[in-house]
Amino acid sequence: MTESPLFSYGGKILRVNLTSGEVRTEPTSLYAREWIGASGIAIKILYDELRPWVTPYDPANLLIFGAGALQGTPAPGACKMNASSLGPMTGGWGSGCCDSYVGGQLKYAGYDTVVLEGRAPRPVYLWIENDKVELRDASRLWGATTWETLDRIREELGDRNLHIVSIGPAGENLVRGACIIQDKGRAFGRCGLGAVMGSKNLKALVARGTGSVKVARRETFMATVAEVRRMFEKTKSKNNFRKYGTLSCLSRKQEVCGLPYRNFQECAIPEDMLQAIDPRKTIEKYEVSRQSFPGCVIGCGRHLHITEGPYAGLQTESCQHEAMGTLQTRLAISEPTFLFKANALCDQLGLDVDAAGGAIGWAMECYQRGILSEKDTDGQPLVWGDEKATLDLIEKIAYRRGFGNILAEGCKRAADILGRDSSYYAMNIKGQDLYEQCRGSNGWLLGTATSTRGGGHTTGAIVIETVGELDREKAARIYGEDNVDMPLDYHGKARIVMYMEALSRIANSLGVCLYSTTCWDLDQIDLPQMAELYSAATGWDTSVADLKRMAMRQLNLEKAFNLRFTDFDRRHDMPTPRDLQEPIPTGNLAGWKLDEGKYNKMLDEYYELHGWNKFNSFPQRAILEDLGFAYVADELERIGKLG
Amino acid sequence: MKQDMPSCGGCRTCEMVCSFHHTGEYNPSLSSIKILEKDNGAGFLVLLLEEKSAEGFACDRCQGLDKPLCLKVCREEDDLAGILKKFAVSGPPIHKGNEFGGSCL
Repeated sequence: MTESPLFSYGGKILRVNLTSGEVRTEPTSLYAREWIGASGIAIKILYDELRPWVTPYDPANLLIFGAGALQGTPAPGACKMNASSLGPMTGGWGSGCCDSYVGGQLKYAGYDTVVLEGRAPRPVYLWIENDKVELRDASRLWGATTWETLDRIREELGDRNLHIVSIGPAGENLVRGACIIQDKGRAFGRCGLGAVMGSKNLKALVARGTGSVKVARRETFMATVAEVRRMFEKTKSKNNFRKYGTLSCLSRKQEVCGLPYRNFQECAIPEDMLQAIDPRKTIEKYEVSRQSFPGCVIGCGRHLHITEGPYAGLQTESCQHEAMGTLQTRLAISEPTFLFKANALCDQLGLDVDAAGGAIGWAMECYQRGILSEKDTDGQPLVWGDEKATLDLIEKIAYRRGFGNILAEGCKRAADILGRDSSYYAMNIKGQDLYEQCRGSNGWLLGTATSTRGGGHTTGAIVIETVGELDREKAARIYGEDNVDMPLDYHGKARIVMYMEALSRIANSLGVCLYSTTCWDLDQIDLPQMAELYSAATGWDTSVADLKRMAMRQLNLEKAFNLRFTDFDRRHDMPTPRDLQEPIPTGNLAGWKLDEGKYNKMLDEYYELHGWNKFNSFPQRAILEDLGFAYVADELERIGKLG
Repeated sequence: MKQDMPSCGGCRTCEMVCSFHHTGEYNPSLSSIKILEKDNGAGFLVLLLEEKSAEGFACDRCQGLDKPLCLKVCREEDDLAGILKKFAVSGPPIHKGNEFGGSCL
């Protein structure tokens, strides 16, 4: 019996056992209809296959790469690939998406997902070329930076247009905040996925495919692609975003007290520093070329060649605002090109910028307060604004040298190791270093604090809350509440967070860049467009309600996965102690303080909307059974975690 | 024909729609237009195939369509149009159009 073709998918899940070298495939159709793709398929496999005794660096852990369901097609913004695993940073669900050429190549090679099992007996890289799947010796590459690895693999395989994902020394050294880098400048960040890859002795994954991705309704699909592309011509964020990416938001972040300064002691930066570090000026001065990824309608990337100052000679891709917040303003550094130097160094070493900034920010504040001294820090004073000390620490973290060995554990664990009442300054949620300035933006805070992967704004935070100048009626139609742009409101925010949870999961499963969506510009891609694209591509009529249900299934499985592996409960969905206790000290919101009672009420509403128990945060049987998860409810009941 | 296109960001959407024009499927390995990284890793070159080969179909400049599909999806349409114009002068004669010509774009 021949199977009906699976449109829009590569068609196969590739499973590679790194211990034995065994390679096998299974049809994507086992998962596609219910789990969409990428992160959706990954959480299903992780939940079903990881037993409770598995730990992140155990060979039995799985590292799963997945191409989005629309990747490989010209669907606008469909350039994202996902990596998921049991992550070492939170000890629970670890997942990150990355702009990627590799995802498309995987699809053209016939695969949607690559599941990596076991641990290679010696360093290897995985070379996938259509049906040929080969584990190649990577002994010579071990120790190399991600940039060197790309160049050497291209040379070895004789194709200078190959694309790869790889780890650097940080992943090899099991730094908890290690990430995985696509080529040279984009990251599967957060959660320590690079360390999982390092624990498997896997240096890189390389894919090249010469097959086709077919869509079911060709004319309809192309017409929808054209229609959605036309939407982008009208977006107001287009011009700034095209030139500078999310770095364009620095001055707005200053207005709304959205910048971490001196490890979140303040939420706005000095005015002279704001002028000095304006990334728009730096990009305009040093831009040499552009960078975007398959299907992208925006094109926010830039290549820079810094020709003067302390980092003259540096050639690197620009970065996003996240790196600005966590490496520049958080550490009070005023040299405008430092951002690009520090970001490039993290990329080379395969170190997540937030994990670096989080740990270094904690250490600098501890030094400021006399909790740490030179006796602890290998003789190095840790003074705010010290560029050299920061760059030295980034290297020491990646190589686990000296004091860097403690920081390599992430700020929460570093504080646990150090003691001395230093944990108050370890800004994290669920053990994941936080770059988010959450005070003064309640919906952003709620989505970040409840995030199933720990601190971070990309899985539920109301990103658009502080963007400003919203068309309120349109915002209400999309988000379901009329106070989307009222960041100090508490009411209604739980419902909007739920919309963001669905939006981000659907986008990630389809491979659509979250920043091409209504996440921050109401005129960009929304759920109806994603439903149209997915329906036309697959031939499966899929409504917005269908997509939302699938997203809630993903979220509940992430939650149950966390409950299997961690002790997370309601306490872990709370803001940091600093955000609860300290009013905003300076800036336009000076004096504003989070109301803990109102936050708790907002959290109650959030749990009620999800069908989760508001006393402990655990999912209740009714919602799990409604989502088709009776077996999940049974497991949670067995371990005493059914809500 | 290989041309520098300084404004190209490498989104390669042109490759996908080009292969759709020729085959009705997305398969950049068959496209007539190829976006190549420059040697120093920053910026892109545009390659247009003059003859059908293992590298892909020959560019027919989307004969029969109101506009080549690659132009319809290019954010820097004018720059790519300039390259196509040069190709039209130096490239091979057009023999035929294509059954999958994506009029809907």
